[in-house]
Amino acid sequence: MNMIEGMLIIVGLAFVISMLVAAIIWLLSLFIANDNNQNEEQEHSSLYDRIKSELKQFESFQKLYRTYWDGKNAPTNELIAFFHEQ
Amino acid sequence: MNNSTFAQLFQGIYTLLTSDPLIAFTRIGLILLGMLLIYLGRKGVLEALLMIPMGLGMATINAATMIMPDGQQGNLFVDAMLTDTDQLLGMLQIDFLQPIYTFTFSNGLIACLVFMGIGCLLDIGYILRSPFVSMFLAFCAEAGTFLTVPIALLFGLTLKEAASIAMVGGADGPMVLFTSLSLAKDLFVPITVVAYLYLGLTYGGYPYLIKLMVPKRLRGKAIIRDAKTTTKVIKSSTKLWFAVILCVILCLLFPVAAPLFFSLFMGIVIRESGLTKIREFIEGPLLYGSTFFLGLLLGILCEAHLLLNPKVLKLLVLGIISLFLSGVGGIVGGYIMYFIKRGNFNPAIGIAGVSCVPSTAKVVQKEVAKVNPNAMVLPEALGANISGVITTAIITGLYITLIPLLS
Repeated sequence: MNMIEGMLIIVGLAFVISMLVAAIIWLLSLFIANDNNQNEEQEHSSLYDRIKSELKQFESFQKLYRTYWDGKNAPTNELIAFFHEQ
Repeated sequence: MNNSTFAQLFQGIYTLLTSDPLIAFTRIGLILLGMLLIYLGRKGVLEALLMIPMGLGMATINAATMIMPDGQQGNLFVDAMLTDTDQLLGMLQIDFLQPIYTFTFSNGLIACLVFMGIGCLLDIGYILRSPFVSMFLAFCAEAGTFLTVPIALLFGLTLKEAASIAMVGGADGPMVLFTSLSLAKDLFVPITVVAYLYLGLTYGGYPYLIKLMVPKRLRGKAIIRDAKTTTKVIKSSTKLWFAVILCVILCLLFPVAAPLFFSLFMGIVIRESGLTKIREFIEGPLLYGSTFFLGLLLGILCEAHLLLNPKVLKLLVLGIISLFLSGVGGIVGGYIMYFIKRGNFNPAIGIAGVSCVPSTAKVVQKEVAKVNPNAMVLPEALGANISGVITTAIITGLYITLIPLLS
């Protein structure tokens, strides 16, 4: 391999690696939040945020569910009261 | 009072009068140049942080030449050319800047510390917004780094020396220092001095290049951004993981340049991980302290005997060619982007791909604002600027790894 070929390979590699880095950055940018519009325009938020939002909704549902059945102020009925007395 | 008493008492003057006329005139010239650097640094024409300690160091070292016990001319600051371990150990106890030179400068530590500080100052969110545009502009702004190599070969330099001086086009001081230390150890002092001198000049020279290559109509062009881009909020955790992944990949690709990559990305990771106290330490005392000692040592190394290498004049010419070509390449990249984006891009932004963070980005915004005060191109310019650091690091890795195989 002579010097000219070597230099051309270096230039080519530099370009390829630069674009590879750009591609990695772009891939990461898929996980970037679009916080300002998250509630209004769900379709504009990232994949990560959509999954996270679903998980948060599920967690809050679980919390409400537990509060309903186990909380001191939870509404009750005779059958449940009977169950707790046992 | 006879001659020997005069020589003993006033060794600086004696060495000036008795040495070779070329050395004597160079010493006087460097003393005056040192003073000029202080003046230009104080006026804000050149980077004051670097130029003021460098200027005083340059002026002082050329005044403070004395006769050493072995009869040779020398000084009590530093001996850059020591290779023998015993001599070095002796000199560490005599020359007051020798410990800093040996333990921080000649092994590249100071370059890494500066890089860590730069990492702490970098907001990589700018490249996350438009990575392909930023990296493309940065690649184009490396034109000098590539094109200067064949020119330097025509000037009679070896391939390793040519690659080292060509790195000036990357406009990244620590990278030049690192490359020349690895590839051309004999020339690393003049190459590094030339690089830092010219990096100070980019602030003054690039505005003229922008004016020359970009007509006023295009220079004042404001970029119309879509709402999605402007409202995009990038989380700290995204930036942190981006830095971690990129650092690991680049170190896997180029272990030779791993210290530089590690230092840069360590700065970014500390910035994004919320370690406020460490961040304040790195971007404050550590960065300023390293820059100060870097400038001081560069000035001290500008000693007439050391710089009177026949290759120095060539290095001076090649350094400016490299920076000029990189600037031209950057603007050409800006024009390519202008056509790709069908006119919704300011070609002047391209020059910000020359990775002199953040000087070139500031230069672009300043020149654009002169024509159109409402045009804000700083986010795009900073994206290209930060990408420039990454591209220069990639090329440093390629040069250090591949150039020895070609020589």
